[in-house]
Amino acid sequence: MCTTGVPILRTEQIGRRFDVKQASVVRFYTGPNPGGIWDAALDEAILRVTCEDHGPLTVRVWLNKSPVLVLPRSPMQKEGAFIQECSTRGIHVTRGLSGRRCLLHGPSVLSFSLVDESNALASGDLEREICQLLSPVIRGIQSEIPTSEIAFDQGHVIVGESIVGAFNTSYYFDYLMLQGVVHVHSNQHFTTLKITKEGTRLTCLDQIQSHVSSQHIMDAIKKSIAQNHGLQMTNMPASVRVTELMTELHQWKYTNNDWVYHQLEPLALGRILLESYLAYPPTNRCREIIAIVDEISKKYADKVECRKWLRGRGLMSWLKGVPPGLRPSGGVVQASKKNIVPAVVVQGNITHERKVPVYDDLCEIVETAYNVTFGGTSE
Amino acid sequence: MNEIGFPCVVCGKRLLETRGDVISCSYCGHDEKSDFVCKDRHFVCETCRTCTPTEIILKTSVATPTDDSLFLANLLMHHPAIPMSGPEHHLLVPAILLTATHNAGHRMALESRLRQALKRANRFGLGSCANLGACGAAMGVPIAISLLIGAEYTKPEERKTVLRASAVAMTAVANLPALRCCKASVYSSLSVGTDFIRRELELGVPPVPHPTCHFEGNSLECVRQECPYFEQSKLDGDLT
Repeated sequence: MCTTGVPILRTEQIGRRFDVKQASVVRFYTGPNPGGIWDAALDEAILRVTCEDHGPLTVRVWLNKSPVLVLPRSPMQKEGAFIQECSTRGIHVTRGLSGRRCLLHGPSVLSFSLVDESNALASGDLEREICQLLSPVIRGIQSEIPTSEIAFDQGHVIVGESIVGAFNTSYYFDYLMLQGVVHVHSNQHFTTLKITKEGTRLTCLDQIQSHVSSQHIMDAIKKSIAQNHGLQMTNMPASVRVTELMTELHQWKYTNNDWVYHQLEPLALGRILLESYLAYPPTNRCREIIAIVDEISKKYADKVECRKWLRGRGLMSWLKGVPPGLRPSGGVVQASKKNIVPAVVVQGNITHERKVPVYDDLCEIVETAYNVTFGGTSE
Repeated sequence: MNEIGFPCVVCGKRLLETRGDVISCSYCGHDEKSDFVCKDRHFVCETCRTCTPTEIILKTSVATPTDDSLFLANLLMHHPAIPMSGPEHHLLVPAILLTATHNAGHRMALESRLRQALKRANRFGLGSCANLGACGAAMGVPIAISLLIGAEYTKPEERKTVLRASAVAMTAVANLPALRCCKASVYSSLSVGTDFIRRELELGVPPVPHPTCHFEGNSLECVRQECPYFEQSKLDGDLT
């Protein structure tokens, strides 16, 4: 039994459904780790870019110099008091992609993120797969620990009887990201942020003791993976795409109060969201709408993000429903519930019901929406 | 004909782009110049593609000559207006039972009865199975029986028959594995409803063969082999 009192899964019990040994390449992010809230933006940028490029298993490991609390996607109980406590202690707060648990990044903990194809995970197998992916990371840090001593349970990383870390999972299309923290010393209990009945308790930062080089840890992890799995290892330097996306995510999402404090995700990053809700298969009217929307997306390439949803099929480019990490706006949900097909939705509001918009009219609506939202001119 | 990326609404095969051949709509039977058609000549007309759930159920039920309840159920449940789960399924069962009975030779004023049935079925909202203890799909059976025998609360025998139909249909749904699956509820209610019509009303509706589910990959909540409607051969295929 582990300290949480729940039977835990030991690594010997790992099934064969997903095996790190079967992955041929593991990629290590070698770009700069920007620190603070930027790290959350960088993680999501890596997730999105890996998904776009159909990249291999990608690992990023870093140590945060300044403490950052990443709140879960769904609001916690007494969250306001928690945030208040953090601000008095000088801890930056942002909100993560996953709805599971808080993660506190800081100097005494190793932060990691792993991105890989989700492989149509069944919920019951998730813990096993996390075991497979994280074992090399933990053993890389603490090589004296036998693999059988490492266990993962309910979002906790457990070594022996101690909870030494925590992780969250989040999805973007077919890709899965594990974000987590592990305490760098196995002989210390991983101190957690708790909200108790008596009030908020924050203990982690009082126990900063050691300084570990992230390069040293990375080398240990690489050695562990090479010894135990024989994988081909490559580097992932910070590409222009990753950097741009990180900047946009930082600006429009991770420092946005609507997202951090009210769980309201920005519809699009610095752009107007233009959605069309179309019949499946598209009718003549729908095809006209597609043509107009494509024209507009070309004209306002830097100002507009376009998404096409097909009734009963989800995102047109995906055709497997609503992709994880991407939600239809309120307008599309409304059109779906009221069976308004086709519909054009600008920035979450239905602008055209069951009719093809006039190109110039739609341009004007988009420009107005851009000016209202971002307070500038779109040309 | 050019192959395009969309799967056919009815059978899931790849759609092919046509050159405007006139083809009958698989739902309403209306002849129309086609744009997309699959290898099995399934085609959905422009109007049917944008129909609401009520419209598509009504149009298809009125137009179809089939008395095969299962075929009709699968056809309608494949339409994009019918989601994987939701109160749209409450409308399906009474409409299909009435249509199958009508097409089996027991002629009636089908359209007006269908409208009446859909109106009654609409009273059961989202989650009525758990909130009211009345699965909307199962309640489709007594609605259809009521309309077939002209039951009213002042007619004791008819009233009893309808209540018995309700009990039988509800018990069948309650005996399904513990899951929220509107498809399974529809399959179960159609089987039970058809049996009831044959046995109690002595009408010659074709019996419903044991259904096999066409939707098992579409729901994360699917219990697969625990479900009585799961197609065993798919599991065998997974293992090989």
